[in-house]
Amino acid sequence: MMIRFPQQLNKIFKFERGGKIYAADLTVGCVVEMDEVTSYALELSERFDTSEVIKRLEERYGKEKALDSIGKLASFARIGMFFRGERRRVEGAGQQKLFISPVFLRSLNRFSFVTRVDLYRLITSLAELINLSMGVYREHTDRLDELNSKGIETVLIEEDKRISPAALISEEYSGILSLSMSFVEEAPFNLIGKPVINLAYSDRSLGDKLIQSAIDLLFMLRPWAVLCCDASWTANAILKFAPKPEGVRVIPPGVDHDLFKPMDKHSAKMNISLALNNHLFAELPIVIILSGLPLNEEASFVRKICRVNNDIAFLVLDPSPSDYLQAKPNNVEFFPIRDAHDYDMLPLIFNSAELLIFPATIGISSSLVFSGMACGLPVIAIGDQERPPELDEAGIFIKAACSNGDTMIVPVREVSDKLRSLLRKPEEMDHLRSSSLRTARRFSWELTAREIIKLFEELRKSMGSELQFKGYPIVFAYKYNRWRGEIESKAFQLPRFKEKPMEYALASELLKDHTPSEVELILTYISGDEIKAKEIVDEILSIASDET
Amino acid sequence: MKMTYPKKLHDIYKFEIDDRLFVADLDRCEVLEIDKLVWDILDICDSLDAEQIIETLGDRYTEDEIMEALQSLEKMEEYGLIFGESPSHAEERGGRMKILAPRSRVFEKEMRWTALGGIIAHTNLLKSMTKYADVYVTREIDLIEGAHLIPLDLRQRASKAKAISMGFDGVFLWFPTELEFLDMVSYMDSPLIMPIHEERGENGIMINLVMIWYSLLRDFDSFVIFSESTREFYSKFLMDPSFFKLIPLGVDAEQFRPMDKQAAKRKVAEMTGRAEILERKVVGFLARFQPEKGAGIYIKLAEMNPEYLFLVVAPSLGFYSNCHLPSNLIYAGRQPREKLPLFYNAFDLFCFPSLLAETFGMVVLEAMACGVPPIVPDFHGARYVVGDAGIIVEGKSFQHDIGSLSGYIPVELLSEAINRLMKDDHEMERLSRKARERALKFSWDASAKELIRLFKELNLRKRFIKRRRLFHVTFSPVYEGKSSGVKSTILNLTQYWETPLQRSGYTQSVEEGIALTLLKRHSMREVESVLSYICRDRRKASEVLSRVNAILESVI
Repeated sequence: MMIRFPQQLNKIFKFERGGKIYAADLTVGCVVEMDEVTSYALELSERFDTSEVIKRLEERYGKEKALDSIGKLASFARIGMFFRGERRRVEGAGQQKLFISPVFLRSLNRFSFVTRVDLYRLITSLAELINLSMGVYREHTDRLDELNSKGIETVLIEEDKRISPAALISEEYSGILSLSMSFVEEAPFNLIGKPVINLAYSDRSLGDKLIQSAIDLLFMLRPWAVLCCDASWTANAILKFAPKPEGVRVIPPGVDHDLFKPMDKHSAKMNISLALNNHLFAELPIVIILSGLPLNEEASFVRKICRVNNDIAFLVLDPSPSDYLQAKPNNVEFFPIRDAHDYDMLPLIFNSAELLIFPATIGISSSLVFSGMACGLPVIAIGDQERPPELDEAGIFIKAACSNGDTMIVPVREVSDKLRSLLRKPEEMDHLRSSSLRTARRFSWELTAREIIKLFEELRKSMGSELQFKGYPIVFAYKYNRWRGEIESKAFQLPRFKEKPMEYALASELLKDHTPSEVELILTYISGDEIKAKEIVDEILSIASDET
Repeated sequence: MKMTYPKKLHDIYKFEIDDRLFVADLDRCEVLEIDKLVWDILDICDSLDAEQIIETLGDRYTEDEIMEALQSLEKMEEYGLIFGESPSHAEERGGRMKILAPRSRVFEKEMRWTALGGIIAHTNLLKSMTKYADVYVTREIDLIEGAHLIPLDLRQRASKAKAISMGFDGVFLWFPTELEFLDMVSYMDSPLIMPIHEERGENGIMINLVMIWYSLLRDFDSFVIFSESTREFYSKFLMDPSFFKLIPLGVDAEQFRPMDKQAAKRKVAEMTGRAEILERKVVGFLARFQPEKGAGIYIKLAEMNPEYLFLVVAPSLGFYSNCHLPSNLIYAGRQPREKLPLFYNAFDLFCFPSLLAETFGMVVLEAMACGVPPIVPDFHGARYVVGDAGIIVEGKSFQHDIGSLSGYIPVELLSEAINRLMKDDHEMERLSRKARERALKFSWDASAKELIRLFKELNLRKRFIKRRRLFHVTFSPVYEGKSSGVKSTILNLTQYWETPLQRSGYTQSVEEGIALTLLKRHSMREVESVLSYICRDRRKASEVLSRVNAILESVI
């Protein structure tokens, strides 16, 4: 029987009589004889956490007596004596201070180069506006200077299986930024009771793993945490399989307007043609295709569009792998973005092109889209949901169908016709270029950072609104059904053993440790009835809400 | 209102804190806030009567004020506070275990007349336990020689506090019916032992009570059963039969011993006015004379065997007092316990045709201790008592209705067995000797020692399982290009914020996830019943539970 310290104490008075120690709880009106060890433990219980209390008791009295005394205090707590609840950590008032979990640096290798650049830009922008710390494992100490130079305080975390790094986050931090996009590794940080923003950036390398990871996270998301996507199409792809819109936000990444801006097109084309060693890129209009669809779908799309439009040069950006077309036509090239050199070529690439085509689906980097637009590049978005609101008035939207309700089928003919039509209309192209530039100016890293900070503030305000699940305890037990002569499983509410419907009782108990989404999922799994599951959970939440 | 002062005070202690006055009743473990007047009264009320109190305090308070205060104190006395004899404690012998044996209900006023085997068994167990442990009972009626009386009303917080502070090494409960002690599992850190004197009850009422206790008892608590038949029964639907520890009951072999049979028969013949007891062989029945105990079968036996006498010792004939009974059936009336050895010795055979799920059959053992061979059916606990020292007749078990009756013996089989034995003096003598020999192996002392040993084992177990590491679990849909199923994930994070696993998380089935998460607030046995419900298949539920146990035990 354990109890967590520190605890707030009732009004207690200790005295000695006849060589014995007594402790009187004046709040509840009881007095007990107490041994010296338990008396000392009671003294410590208000000031120290459990492990410290045990340690001090062990030092003085030995392990067995220490544990016995804790057990006694736990027993007293169970009958409402001496304690009136755990000491809650007081949230630090004053300036916000955010913490980035140490999992982030470990996960960097999983991301594409573009995502790594984006996250770096986000962190440095945040560091300019707010106190920002990052947890760093020992294997990443070579990054300390670099991070410190950007104004990011680093906190060295020693890996110790006895304590999660999440438990070591001090009270001074008002929120946690989870950037690894790995729910399982970041889960402890979502459970410590601080506001958390979990970032989900569409990334070619993560693929479907991002959706599963996001789904896992959404179902366990507490009211003070969110999943923050880089684009509406990322959010839509996730919400299709985990319809929890209340847990999802969209805060687009920024654009480095110093790097991505309009340049001389002709000069850009010449440079790209040389770099690709393909003269067609100097002679023909260039259309950029953003890679991000599943491999087969992308290969099919690229193959078809190249064949039909052999008077246009297509540049597939950031593909993976780079060369999946057999017998690659001359009018298509692939440009992987693997390092800073490749990344620095992007402004030239965007300026050399006439149009940028991208499927608005998970795997497509939104920052590449906005960076292209910042170079004055008109865009054609293809999507199976609504037109991406980020595009505002800029760009063209082509609606696509879905196969089996899941995979987007790119309408090659329609896309081809549209791009050919646009290329023949210089006035419309000019209009689209202006719209792109106008829209792109809305995206900046400073703005993104401010939105993130604002979101943290919103989450902080929602803390403390958690529902309290009161009511008498439930016990699950077998019961003999004499009519059927069988043993059945039942749920009873103490103290009068009032029988409760099993699903209802199970949901009540599970809601104490899990989110309503998780519990609905479990009930649906058990009963197969999604509607009934929701009704049960809603009813319990409604009662808890009244009681809270 | 007449007030009786002076009054004897409990062990009280007065104190002041923050300008408030309190009195602590250390016998009752309660604290009351009082005023200055009551404070002053308490100094003198154990030596002065009411008039003297008024006179003494008259310079500071009015008579009305003092009278009101005295009346309030009388009210406190009605609640058992402040005044009364302090319970005297028999001296504790150092180094012995302290066992609490609380009881809330009283079934019968006198042990000597009781026909309830459970009461007899439990009382004898406690009496023997006092030789090896300090036993504390909570009601005066339960006070036996060597035990301590500690008046506790465990519905009250103060009594619970006292029970906790006394640091008992164990709690020996009486009956599963006493559900008011259920919440002891939440606050008593000592192991609880619940004996199962009755296997099924009427319409399964005892089954349901045992199930509730099974769910709530902790891993360092235990049931005690008196024969394997109880474990066999519950093993059919409970996954953890090891929770039932076998400690057979005993018999007082000094009190229940062989006597001169003719002398015993003569005495009984005199008492009943039936001289033929001396001349004919006697088949005995000693239990409540009711159909469930096989009374109807016994009557038929008498009708089928007119050459023998069938002697009944029971509290009453009950329903059968209105029936025409065969002339060879003799009712000896209700007898006190001290006379029972005499009647056992007057039997040539002891017949126990009970249809109930007898957990033990103490009367069978008592008969055996008196050297009387028993005849019992094979479908309840008595067969374990008899062993090879009597006749076990094959009966028919009830398969469907398990809630009340256990089975029945066709009367012809029973009659045949009785006749066979009665006609074989040599075998009768052999079994008579064997019965006594076997009975000597069952003693209350041995049972008490076993109980103490069990308490020690459970206390040791308690240390082992003190901190169970429970991992956080999450649930989410499975995405494999599209939604397909549900999974749970064990996170590498315990409730103590430890991260003992190698990986950040492991995928598990939903059932395992539910089990792991419920274990934070519920016992393994409650989880067992939930899994039985979810899996709709006991074997699958058992597999899930095994896997969950394996996960938990793999982390120290």
